[in-house]
Amino acid sequence: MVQVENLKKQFRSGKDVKVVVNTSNWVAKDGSITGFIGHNGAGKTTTMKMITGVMRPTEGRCLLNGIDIKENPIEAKKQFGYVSDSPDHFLRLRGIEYLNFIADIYDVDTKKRMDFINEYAERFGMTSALNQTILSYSHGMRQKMMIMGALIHDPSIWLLDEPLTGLDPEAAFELKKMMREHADRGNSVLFSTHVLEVAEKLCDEIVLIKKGNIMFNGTLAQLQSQYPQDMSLEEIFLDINKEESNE
Amino acid sequence: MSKILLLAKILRKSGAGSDETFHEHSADLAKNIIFALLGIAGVALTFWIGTLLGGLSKMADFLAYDIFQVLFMTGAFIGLFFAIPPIVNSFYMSGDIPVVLMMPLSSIQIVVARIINAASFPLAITFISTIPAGIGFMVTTQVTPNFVIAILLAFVCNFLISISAIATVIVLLMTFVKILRNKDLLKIIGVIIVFAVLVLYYVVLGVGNDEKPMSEVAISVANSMVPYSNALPINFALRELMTQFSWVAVLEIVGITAAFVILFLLVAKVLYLSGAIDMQSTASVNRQLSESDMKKKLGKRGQIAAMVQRDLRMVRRNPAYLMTGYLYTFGMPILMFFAMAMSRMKDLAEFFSDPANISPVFGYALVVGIGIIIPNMTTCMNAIASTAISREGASFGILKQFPMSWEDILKAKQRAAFIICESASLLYVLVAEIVALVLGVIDIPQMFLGLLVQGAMSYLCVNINIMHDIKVPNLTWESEAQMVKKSSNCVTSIIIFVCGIFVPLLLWMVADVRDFLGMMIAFGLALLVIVASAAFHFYMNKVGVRRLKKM
Ligand SMILES: Nc1ncnc2c1ncn2[C@@H]1O[C@H](COP(=O)(O)OP(=O)(O)O)[C@@H](O)[C@H]1O
Ligand SMILES: [Mg+2]
Repeated sequence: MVQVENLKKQFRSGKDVKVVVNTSNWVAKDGSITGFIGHNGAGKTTTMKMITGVMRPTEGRCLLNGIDIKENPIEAKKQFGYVSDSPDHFLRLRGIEYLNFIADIYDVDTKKRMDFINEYAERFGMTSALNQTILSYSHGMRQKMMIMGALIHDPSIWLLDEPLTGLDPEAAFELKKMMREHADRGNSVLFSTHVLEVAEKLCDEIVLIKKGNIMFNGTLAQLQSQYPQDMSLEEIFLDINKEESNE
Repeated sequence: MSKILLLAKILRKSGAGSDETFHEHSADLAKNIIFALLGIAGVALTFWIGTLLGGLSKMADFLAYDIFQVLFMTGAFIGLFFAIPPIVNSFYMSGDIPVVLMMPLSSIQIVVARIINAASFPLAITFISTIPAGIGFMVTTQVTPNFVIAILLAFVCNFLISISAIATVIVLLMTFVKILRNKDLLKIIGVIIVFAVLVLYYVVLGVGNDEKPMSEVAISVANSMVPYSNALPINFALRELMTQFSWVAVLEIVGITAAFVILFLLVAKVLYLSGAIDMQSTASVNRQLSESDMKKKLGKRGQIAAMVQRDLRMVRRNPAYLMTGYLYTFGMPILMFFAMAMSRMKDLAEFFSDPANISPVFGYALVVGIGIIIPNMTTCMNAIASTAISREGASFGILKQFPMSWEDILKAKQRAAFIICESASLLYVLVAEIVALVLGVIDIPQMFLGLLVQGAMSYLCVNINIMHDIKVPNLTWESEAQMVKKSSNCVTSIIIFVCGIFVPLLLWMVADVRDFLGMMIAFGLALLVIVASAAFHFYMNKVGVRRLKKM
């Protein structure tokens, strides 16, 4: 479970202060897939970075399975696997070396890492690419490698920042299936996206963020009940953003 | 033609693939000033040579022609040498090639636009080697118009010939020698060539340093080079033209030049595009892993060991670190040795030929001095420690989300840098000490003292460089080559400078005192290094970790 409490982030350049994230409390529950939805620049990546301890919040705190990322960072970091918004990391390593490195960092035993790599490389169609450097991968292949790295230690929380960008249809399908399986085993999946069709089909819960503010946190059904019947998520989303621009 | 100029301009503005080069377009002010000063010095030098030649003789003097001829040849060759990296890079390696290949342009349009950008340095060199010398000559002697024509032709034609020749060779090599198409390998070869030329330069410098006056050496070198410069295509005709006007000579010069240019254009037209297109699809492909390979690759290690191995791999596989990382580390001491030995070989041989001359105090000072200077040099010269944090770049965020303490991350960084730097300096210190041991200058306990000082100094240098990088990290670089160049190992540069002055001074002092005081100074210095290294270790583990946490 991910609990976010009054999270706020400001960026300062000289005297200018830009508030990028300013949210009330919200959660990503165990046993469900939570879609973190907002347009480009809404503050999704910034929030994800604060949850994972990559960026320090100006105010507020984040709990991962009840552990405060600030108070007890190492324990908290063991709880999640994180796919960041860019897959271009450690490019000079080969795929297999990257996975082995990550497995070492998370103290995964040898048998487990072997089984994981065999299974997931197969599912993502990456078996023949394992011995090549990440530098030679296409964008989608890098993304797959980052996803495998994030999941190799079998974390209970998955934090995925726009994980579907660049994936081919087979891999996207596989990943969505994995997310479903993982949530059904009682774990939590928080993934950000601006593609509403995906969110609508996949998510149990929705967190809507707009200009750093949380507009809604609940099930899709709850959201739809506030609007006229058979309005799609897309229409609702556009409607919420329209209200703002009218102000 | 206007299309070519437009393309050249756009390529220059977009940096012409500067992220890939060993020769970078950088608007670095200091660099520009240095180049300007060097240029002025070059102009002054050849102008001075010109006036000397004018004063030396009448036109008919053969020596004057010989030296002019050698001057032209030297200019052409230096220009040629410096043209290789930018031509190879802009023809085949720069990042904008795919975009240019997509445009409806002919091979000739592309290569000419590329050459316009790559040729500024050779142009400057051929200018310096011809025009000021000619003017210097004219100032001191009466010349006829044909001399002016000869000098102008020498400038233009030597430039065109050398650039066309080298570009032709490059296109041919890149087309037919497939192994050169591996970009990383090509960079390594480039670096090795530059290094070899530097060593050669010192050797030549050493040869010339044999007590004879410099002017005599210059003349004898020039004399020995005349036969070679006769072989240069237009030099013979130029020589003729300098004495008396002849249409045949002019036509010969222009004709030869045109032949070179046309040959290049033909080769480029036929071969360039296909070669450049092939380059886009070359990457080293490793074979697929079998089950047993995979078992071998999936060994389990601790967090720190895994971090160290990753760091070493990333550095080793990145050409940007090859020059500044490995080649400087392992090569610089050899180069320094050449530079020093070549100029002082005789003195050294004399000194060591009589072991009775050498006091035990001098032995101590020597091992301590070597133990300080060599690790300092290798660590300062390489960019491994001074980019320890910066080289993570955007991936620094990934390190932050690892369940790993900052103390451990720092430890891994120290270890990786120390392994590289220490393996080089240990090698050299051992060689130096064994030589001293064999010569009877030091004994075994002194040798161990030297090693201790060496280890402590290496560790201190590595830590200072890492700490400096923690204080002013650069995590937003676009390319590693650029980041490495900008990384400042300024703190350690100051130390190496101070030590460079301090240690010889001390050696001299100690060799003079030859008593208890000298011994104490050597020991004191050793102790100082060890204590400083330990103190900095504790400081860094506190302040450095605190800084990393805040980053
Ligand atoms: N380091 C930074 N400095 C200043 N502004 C930033 C920084 N990082 C992100 N922002 C701003 O924060 C806003 C939210 O960005 P981000 O979280 O990446 O959005 P999203 O992921 O939802 O598309 C954007 O307006 C972006 O310009
Ligand atoms: Mg984002």
